[in-house]
Order: sequence, then C-alpha cells, then structure tokens
Amino acid sequence: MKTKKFMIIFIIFIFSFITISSKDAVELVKGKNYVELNISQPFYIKTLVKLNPSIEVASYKVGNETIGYVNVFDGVGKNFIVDSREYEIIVGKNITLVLPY
Amino acid sequence: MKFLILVFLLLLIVPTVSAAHYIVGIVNDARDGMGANGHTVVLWNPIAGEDDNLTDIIGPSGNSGADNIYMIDCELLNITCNIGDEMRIEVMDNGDSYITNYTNVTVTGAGYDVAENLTLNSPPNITLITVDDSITVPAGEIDLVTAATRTVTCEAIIEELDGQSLKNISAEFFHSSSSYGSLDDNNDHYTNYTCYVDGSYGGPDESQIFCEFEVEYYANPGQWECILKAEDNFSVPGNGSALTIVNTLLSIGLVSSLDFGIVNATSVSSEVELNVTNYGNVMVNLSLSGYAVSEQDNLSMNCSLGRGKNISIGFEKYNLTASNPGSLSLSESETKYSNLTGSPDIKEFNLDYRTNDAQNYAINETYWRVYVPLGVAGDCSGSILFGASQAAGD
Repeated sequence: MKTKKFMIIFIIFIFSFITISSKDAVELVKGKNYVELNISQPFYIKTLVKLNPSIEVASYKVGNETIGYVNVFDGVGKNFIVDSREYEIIVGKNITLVLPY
Repeated sequence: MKFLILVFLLLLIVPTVSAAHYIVGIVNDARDGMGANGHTVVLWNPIAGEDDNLTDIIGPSGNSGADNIYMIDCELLNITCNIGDEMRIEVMDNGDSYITNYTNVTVTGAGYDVAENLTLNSPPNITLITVDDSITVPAGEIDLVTAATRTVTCEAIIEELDGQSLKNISAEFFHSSSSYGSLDDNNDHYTNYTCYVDGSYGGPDESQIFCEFEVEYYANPGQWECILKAEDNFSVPGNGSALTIVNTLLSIGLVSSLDFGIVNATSVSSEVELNVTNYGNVMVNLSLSGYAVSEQDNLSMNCSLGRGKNISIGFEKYNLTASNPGSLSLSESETKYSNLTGSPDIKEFNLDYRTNDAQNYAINETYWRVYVPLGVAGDCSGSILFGASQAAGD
C-alpha cells in the first residue's frame, strides 16, 4: 500500500517536468519552471520573451556555466538560441507559453 | 522501493542545481567621461567574505551584453545565494583608478534582482600646476637667497567632479638627481604635507592648492620637479607635476674686517686667519684684489702718519691653503704667501657648497699677513675684495 502511494506521488512528480513538443501548449506557473522543450525550428530567446513578456529570466546550464537572459533594461544577457533542451524559465505570473510558430 | 526513493530525490535535486538567480545593475560612466564598459564588477556576500566572489565585465563584453550593465548569477557563489541574503557589489580597480562605492542588494524570490545604480568615480584631476618663486620675471626660474631660504610655491587647480572633499594633499619638490618618495634633504628633496586648500576658487568642483617649500640657499642647481597629489574619499589619488630651474647661486660669507694688530715698520705681521663660507649652491674659487682708498690704486693700505703713508698692494699677502704660524721676515713671507694684487686675480679655492643639513662644513680658512715698510705709521686701513667665481683659478 505504501509502495503504491509512493508510486502515485512519483508519477505526479515526473509529470511536473514538462516535456513538450512544439505543438504542445506549455503552462508555466508563477516562479521557477523547469521546461524540457522539444523544438523543431530554433528561435532566439528574445523572440520568445517578446511573445511572452511575463518571462523574467530564461536560462540553461552548460557544464558549470549558466547561460541566461533577463527581461530587464530591454533584455540583458545572452540572446541564446532556443532549441531542444531543458530550460529554467521564471515567470512573473501564470501563463501559457506562446511559441513563435 | 528504495531505488524509487533515490530516483525521486535525484529528480528533486537536479532542478535546484541548475537554478540561476541573476543580480543585474547599471554602472554609469564617470563624470569625467570615462566609460564604465570594460570595467569589472565584483559581487560577494559580506557574511561569507570577499574571497567567495563573482565578477563580471560591464558592457557588451560581459554577461549582460549591454552597455553599462552587468549581470551576475549569484547562485554560482561557492556558498550559493538564498532569499534574504544581502549581496554587496562594487566596481573594482582595474589599474586605472576608476572604481565605485559599493551597493547592497537583497536576494528576493523574484526572477532576478536589480541593484541600485552605481557611478564610476572620477579621480581628482589636476587641471593646472605651476611651480615658481615670488620673483615672477623670468618665470619658471628659482633664484635662491644667500644664507637664507626662498619660498617656492607649487600651485595647482584640482577638479573633483564627484563633489568629494580632498584629503591627504601633499607635494614633493625635488632635484632631477632625486625622485618622488625620497627622504627630505635640503640639497635635493622637500616635502609638504600641510598644503593650503582654497575651496572657494572657481566652480563648485574646483579647488586651488598651495604647497610651499622653504628652499635653502644650498639646494642643488638645475632642473627640479614638483609633484602634487590629492586623494578623494575613495583614497584615489590625482596628481600633477611641473618643472622649474633652480639657478646657480654664487655667494660667499666673511667677517667684515680683518685686524693685523700693531705691526712695527719693516716687520711682517702675525698671521691672521680669515674664514670663507660658501653661501651658495656651487663650488667656488676666489677672486682677490685690494686697494687702499680707491680701486686700482695699487695700494693695500693708507696710513694716518709717516712720510709715505701708503703700503704697496704687494705687501699684503695671503695663503689659501696652509697656515704658516710664527714670525717671518719679508723674504720668508714672500716664499710662503702670494701677494695681493690691485686687479682681481682668480685663485683656486675649491670650496664646495653645503651638503650637511645639520651643520655647515662649507667653510675654508685663508691666511693673511701684511708687511709694513719704513716711513709708515699711525692707523692703516684698506680693503680686500673677495669674489666668488666658478672660473678656473691659478
């Protein structure tokens, strides 16, 4: 019984890591979101932020380095290309992520 | 079951590890026009200490990629930042003295935190500096005063564009054989830590500084430099320098009279010692001549009694190097002394100038005698003309 309960929690947790294809709708909750994007046509993060002004920060890790883009002062940081990988996206309010296509 | 718990925990940890929390801020250019771009911002948690810090280059070559902006992920600190932590940020000195005060920013639960704007500090700027004495013509030359001091003033106009008060104002005045930071020595180096600041001069950001030096008569001749420094509240110095020439001073000092005492006719007087002091700043030889009543009269003395009343110039004798005490006949004296002449005669004396601040050793003795010929009596008097010369002597 205990194992079954844990399995349910585990499955719910796994689904909290959102893996999407470009056609899926992505719901982001206010605060930090870890999003696994599956992108067929890459685009710049600046483009994504323009479409989703509630994005405060988007970043990903390469080794020990964090590549990030902050939506302040008209956008600072690296205007990196968004392709298929896991990102940390911080939003100021709950949104459905709008993709460029 | 245990395996599932492990996987669950791992999944719980992985997103935390990849988290980022950016501290972003603007650094304004310095008021003197120095751009903030390219300077380095350092961030640390004062509680953890400065050793655990992160840096970023301001501007396009840094993390932000944008002019005048820095961007640091404080979660990359060894002791990672947490909500409520107070981070400290400042621009560090890259070697060009442009820094900022620090600012604090508290880490919040937001996506990022923006620190208060910083402004690059402008070091004090010396816009004009001169060094001279009170004799304005010719300008840029220092004329020393015999056996005394000459006031030399190093004067500067300083701009402090950040409106800070100036501190640790000092100036050094030194000969080309010395250097900034050397120990004071009246021959070649002077320091003033008590310069006068006139804050009412010019605009609100300007001050006029006066640093005076009492330069001794034996200061080395040649090129001298004044370097004036002033610091702002960040202890960032501004400095300026000016050159001048200290002129040669040829000067000697002697007692005003020489008394041979009572000398019988046809006798040579006892030897009288006369000290010559160098009161200038170069080695000197002596120019010697004498007269009784008027220059070029070829007499050494004129007397009140007797048939002739005059003593020939050659009967007054000197030795510039050695003393010959005791009684001497005229012929003996002529072998050991030189005859004074009516025209100036330059004699090698090689009296160097003073180099000891505590005591003046730039003194040499000269030795004198006079022969009184027959037919001369009463009180006799005459003049010996001493001159200081750089010309070679015989």
